[in-house]
Amino acid sequence: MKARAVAITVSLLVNVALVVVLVRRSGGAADLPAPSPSTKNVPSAEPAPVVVRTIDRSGPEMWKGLASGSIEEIANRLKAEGFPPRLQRVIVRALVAQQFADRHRALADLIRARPWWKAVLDSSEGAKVIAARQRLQREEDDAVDAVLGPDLGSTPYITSSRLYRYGNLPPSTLAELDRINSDYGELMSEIRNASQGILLPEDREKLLFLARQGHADVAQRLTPEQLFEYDLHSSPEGWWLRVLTGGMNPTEEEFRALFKVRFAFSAPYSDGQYEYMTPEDKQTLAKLDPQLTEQIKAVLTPDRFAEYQLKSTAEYRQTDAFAKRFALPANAAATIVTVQNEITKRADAVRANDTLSPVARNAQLGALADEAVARLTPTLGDSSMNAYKQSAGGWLDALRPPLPPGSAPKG
Amino acid sequence: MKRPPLILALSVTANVALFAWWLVPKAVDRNDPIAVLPKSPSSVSNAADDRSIKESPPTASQPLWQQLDSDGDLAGVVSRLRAAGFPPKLVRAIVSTLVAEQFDAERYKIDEVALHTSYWKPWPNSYQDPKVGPALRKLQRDQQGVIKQLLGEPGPDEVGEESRAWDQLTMGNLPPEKLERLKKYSADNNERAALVYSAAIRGASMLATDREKLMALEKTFNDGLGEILTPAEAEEYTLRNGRTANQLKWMLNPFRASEDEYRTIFPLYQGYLDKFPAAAMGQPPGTSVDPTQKGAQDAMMAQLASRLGQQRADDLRLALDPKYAQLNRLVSRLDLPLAASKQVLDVQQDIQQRAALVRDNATLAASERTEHLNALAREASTRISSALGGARGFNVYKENGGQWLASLTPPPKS
Repeated sequence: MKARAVAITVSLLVNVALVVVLVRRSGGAADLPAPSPSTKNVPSAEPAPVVVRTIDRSGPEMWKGLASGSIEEIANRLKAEGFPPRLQRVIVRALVAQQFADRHRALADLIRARPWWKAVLDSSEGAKVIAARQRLQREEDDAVDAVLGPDLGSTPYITSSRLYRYGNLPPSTLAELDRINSDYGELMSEIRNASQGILLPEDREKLLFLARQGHADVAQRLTPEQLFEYDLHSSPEGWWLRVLTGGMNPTEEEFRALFKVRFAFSAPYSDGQYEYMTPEDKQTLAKLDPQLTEQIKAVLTPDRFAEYQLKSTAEYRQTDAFAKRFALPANAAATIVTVQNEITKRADAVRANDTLSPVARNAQLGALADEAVARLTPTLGDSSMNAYKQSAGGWLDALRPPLPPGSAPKG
Repeated sequence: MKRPPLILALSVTANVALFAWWLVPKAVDRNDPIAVLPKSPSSVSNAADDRSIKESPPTASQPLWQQLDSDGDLAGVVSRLRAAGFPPKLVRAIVSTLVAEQFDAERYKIDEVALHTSYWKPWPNSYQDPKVGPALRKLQRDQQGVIKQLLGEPGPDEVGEESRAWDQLTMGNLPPEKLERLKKYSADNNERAALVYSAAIRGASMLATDREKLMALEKTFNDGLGEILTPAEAEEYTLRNGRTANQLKWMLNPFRASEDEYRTIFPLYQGYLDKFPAAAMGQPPGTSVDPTQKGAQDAMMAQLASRLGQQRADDLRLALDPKYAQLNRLVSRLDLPLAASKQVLDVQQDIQQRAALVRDNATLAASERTEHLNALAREASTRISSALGGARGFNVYKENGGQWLASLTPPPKS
């Protein structure tokens, strides 16, 4: 279940990342006169000296005058000529894309060669296209950043996303962390895309290795306190904790306390990255779960701990989504899941009761299903009950044992 | 228990849609022209057909951008950029950025919650939010409308080679005019589908009525393709797009279909789904108890066997059966034949049936029951390892469909 939840989380995170990428994307490759090749491939702290050239300031030669020389010269000229930062980035980006024109053509060939009858994200050909596209975009981003610096022309979305993901760090550090994560993310997504959803042991080893290398690169640039903040914001455990605590609406202090407990607990196993853990590690962690629960209990008040236990489950999240859709009262999801938990626990006891005959067991389970419906109806109302059974209420059907072959349902 | 896969499927669908959007370089308007900018400091006149230059005489000391943006009018900027020899594609990129900036204030206001999300709260998925999503998407359409009003449709030299390659891959060989109409038609349909998804809280509470709405949308969309495309073009488009194509491509991955095989399978599968639309929504075709549906399935498979050969048809039956979906992907990854999926599921069903009998056998003492179940677990391990080529395959299976093995033997009571 957790693996599935991780898959859902990863998929949602990919959605978030793609939305961020799409929002920040602006401009594109242009068929422009190619500027002289850039002599730099890495970010430069100091801008290149401004080269003074005569520009035709009124006629059709203005662009040629602006776009002559190296990328650095053009960037400096754009700045000197008062182009706004975002436009400097758009123009430099287009010129850089022109320098990579051969790569764009090769990518287009790769897209054309991809079998159209295969799923994009589910084939080795698709994985190659994705990897090539990411590599090209990364290299172009690097080339643009090398000339303009990482922040020129940044948007509130980029700034907000970086602060959310890495913590309150200086802009240059945030940009550097973005670069590191993007580089390793590119390599990791190549492995993931080629895996077609089934990770083999060798895939996990490679992914874990890359995750560790990436974290080590980050750690080199941060103080221990900053690294803790980074992990708090960016680690898989942090992301998962946000999902778990979304329903209980934690305070910052509660979140930090819970993170410390959970992170310390899972870190010895594949650095706390559940997806990369061996089955043995997962079993060990599962056995230690009661200890983790005790530690969580120790950092929350009794009321909040009870809320955490109720609302950190997949059942609560699904019921909460249902309650929001049908505009049920604020506490409806908690009421429903409380009934669900109690009935499910009693059903488990019935199933585990060796002394019951199959007929008696089924009768008791059916009675529990009837009781559940009766207790939930006041909260859901008759109109929502049917919809509930179709979505979050699938567990009600699971209480009713399948009819023996050849028998007809009553009524 | 069946819902998380649905959420996952919807999220993966969103991955695919967003990824496809990402692959297509932006700059092409696909929506209605909107003439009004939100609180824009600049006025917008139509520059698409107005190539005249309206500018004050330049001065040597005046920075060039001030000169290009002398009156704050975007149409004037377009004219001056063109007159100054800026390449068309760059004019589009610059103007798109300037227009986006004019919409930014409104965008940030609508999306304020996301921009100010505390790090200890989940990041909201604005574009799929039931309230924020439609507002943001409308703003995006308005923005594209202004760009179109200023620049018109992109010319051939304004569309990148990758974009053209992607269009060709996903829509077939279509002339540019048809392509643009098709994109707009598709975008309108996608917006309607997005409203259904976001109303269902990002798909987390999908109901039968939502699924029916989505199916109706797809049918209406396909019926309307004829107004834009010839029958042959429409056929090529539906082979590549839509739920049937996406579902089929996904399921056929482990089958490793050739193009000819895909072209053979698609129309028959489409015909089957037309008659039994629920099968497209995850109802296992191989496990249906409806005799009419079962008959249609058998007829489809018989036709496919005659065209593909019995061996491939047998594999195809496995590939199209949702209950084998995860196993099929596993055996494909392990480079094993699809028949291994059936072997493994047969073992699972056999062992689980025998385990149920053991659990229901009231004559057994608890220790005897445990011993019987342990023996069944050992047998399952041996048989599945053999089907999956050894311990390596078995270990991967334990985490990809084999979770039932862990529940076969109950933990000792404390």
